[in-house]
Amino acid sequence: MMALRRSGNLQPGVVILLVLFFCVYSGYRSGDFWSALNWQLLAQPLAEAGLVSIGMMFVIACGGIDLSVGSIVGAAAVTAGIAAHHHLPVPAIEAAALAAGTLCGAFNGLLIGVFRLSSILVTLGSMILLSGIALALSDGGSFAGFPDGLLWWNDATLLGIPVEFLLFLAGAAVAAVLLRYSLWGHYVVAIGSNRIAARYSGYPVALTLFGVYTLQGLLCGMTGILLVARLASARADMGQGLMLMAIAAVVLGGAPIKGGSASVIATVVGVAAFYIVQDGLLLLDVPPFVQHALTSVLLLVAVAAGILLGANREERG
Amino acid sequence: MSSHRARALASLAFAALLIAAGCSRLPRNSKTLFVMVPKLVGIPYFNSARDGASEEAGRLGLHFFYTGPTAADASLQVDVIAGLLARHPAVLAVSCDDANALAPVLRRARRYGISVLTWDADAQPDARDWFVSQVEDETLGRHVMDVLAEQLGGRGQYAIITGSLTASNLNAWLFWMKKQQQEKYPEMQLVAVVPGNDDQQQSFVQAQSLLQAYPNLRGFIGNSSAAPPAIARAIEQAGLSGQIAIAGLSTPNLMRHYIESKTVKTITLWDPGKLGRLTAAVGAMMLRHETPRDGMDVSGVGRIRVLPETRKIVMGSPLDFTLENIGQYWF
Repeated sequence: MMALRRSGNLQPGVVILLVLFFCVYSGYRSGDFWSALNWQLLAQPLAEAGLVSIGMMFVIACGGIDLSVGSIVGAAAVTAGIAAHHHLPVPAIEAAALAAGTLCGAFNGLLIGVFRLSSILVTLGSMILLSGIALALSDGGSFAGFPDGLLWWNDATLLGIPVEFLLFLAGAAVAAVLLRYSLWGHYVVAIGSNRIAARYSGYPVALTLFGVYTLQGLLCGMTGILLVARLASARADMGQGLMLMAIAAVVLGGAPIKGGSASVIATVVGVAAFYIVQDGLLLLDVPPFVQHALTSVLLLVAVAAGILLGANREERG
Repeated sequence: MSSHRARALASLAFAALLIAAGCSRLPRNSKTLFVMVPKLVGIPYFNSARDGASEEAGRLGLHFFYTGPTAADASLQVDVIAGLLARHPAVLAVSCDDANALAPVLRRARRYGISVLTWDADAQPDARDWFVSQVEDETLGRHVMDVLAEQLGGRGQYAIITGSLTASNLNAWLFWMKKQQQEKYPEMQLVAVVPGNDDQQQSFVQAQSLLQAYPNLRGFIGNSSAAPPAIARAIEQAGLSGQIAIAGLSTPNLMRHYIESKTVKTITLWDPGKLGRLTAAVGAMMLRHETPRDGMDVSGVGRIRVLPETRKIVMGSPLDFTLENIGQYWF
């Protein structure tokens, strides 16, 4: 709780500064960087990774880690694919994918919260298990032929902003309220700070952790639907890159990887920074492998600067 | 702490200055920009396609740009292509990791007036203008099975190591290989199809475990350029060289050692450099609003087949590399 009240996390500020430098530079070198189209196209994958990152923020805040997010996204996508294959109406397809994601998350939450198993072991197991199930259900292929009503998520814009991105912003706002003003948000951070103390204080540790992983599952379900809409198809391996991206986004925002502190804005800054820099490097003709290296340099520089500026220095717990 | 902060900010500003000093604006060349996207960057097969395309594009006055995802993953590839759309290339040529998943972003590209080609691996037909194909899936799949069956005398257990289980073109070849075996070689028995994920190390581990799991295994098919060399290495390490037959798709450079050591008799592919060349040539036709014609002679490629109803351009028949001819090829 101390950590939450402290305004000592300067890392998002450093990241914003670095990204602004980068934007000015990219805008100068490439005439396409500031085009509306570039930002529209960029906003969509950002929104998907952003939803998973927000879930990951809660997971990391309570002292856990979720390695299974990519597989949950894939499982939700394949569920949507099967639902569409049986010609279910659009709300039913969406409900099926959300339910699948939530169930997968609840499964993690049950093992981690109630049975007190280590989050890294449980989610490593469910990562492999779920992607195996999803691969088996899809027979290694992809589902196509989704109804237009579902593809709406990809095509629709409001005032030029993709609805996917607006959904992400709405999700982020809800998460911020939950984190700051709900009792549950208070428990999450307290458990991350010191789980034993939280238990002795009579906090509902099991229920809180169950909620954290179930929420992550729900967000993965939403991401699955958005990915299905954007790719007009569903595959088991769809969310593969999202797990590392989400963890990196939370860390880039300055959250301690051991938990006990969280900020939605910092997480949003973290995930946006990754996508803006990746997109800019692509427009600057930077070779793909160098793009990877430079993106990770961003992470290292920001974390180093955060420590230098005193944000992440203090041990908590 | 404030001196720390000042020092950090100063070094950041200095770094930014250094970067800015070393660069100039990129020219906007979108009217002649030809963008080529492989399934993944950094493997020899796509590198030689890039080299062929780059040379031909340069000769035809196109601005050539090559980029792609660093792993074979359809959603990563879609993200890369979405990022490229902001540059409004004139022609976009993509080797699709998944025919369905790539379709929306390619359709979007067409809506923006970009000519879309697929090469090497196709998307849904309405998502592209033309598909530049190396060889028909059926011809290739049946041919590879014939190569294996000839070495096995048409009988015995065999296993297949493919790339990823979701790559549409690999699965199409796989389908025809199995069909050819069922139709022509009923005494052969397929024991396993496993993914090596276009990765030599993974394919090697898969080959090793297959050798352990099936002691009566007499043949392997490597259905992705990384698989046959990995299989050959596993067989040589197990001391089974000459006892287990290998057929499949790979490049001469990757297989040279194993063909020279006689662990592998024949390996099949086509020339990806030629495929790149043809893709660039078709790209140039798109810029000039020309339509490819059946039987037309493309420089450095030869006569091509054009199937206007499916909008497919076929480069030719498969190419077998053996000890006799491998010296002539370098890719």
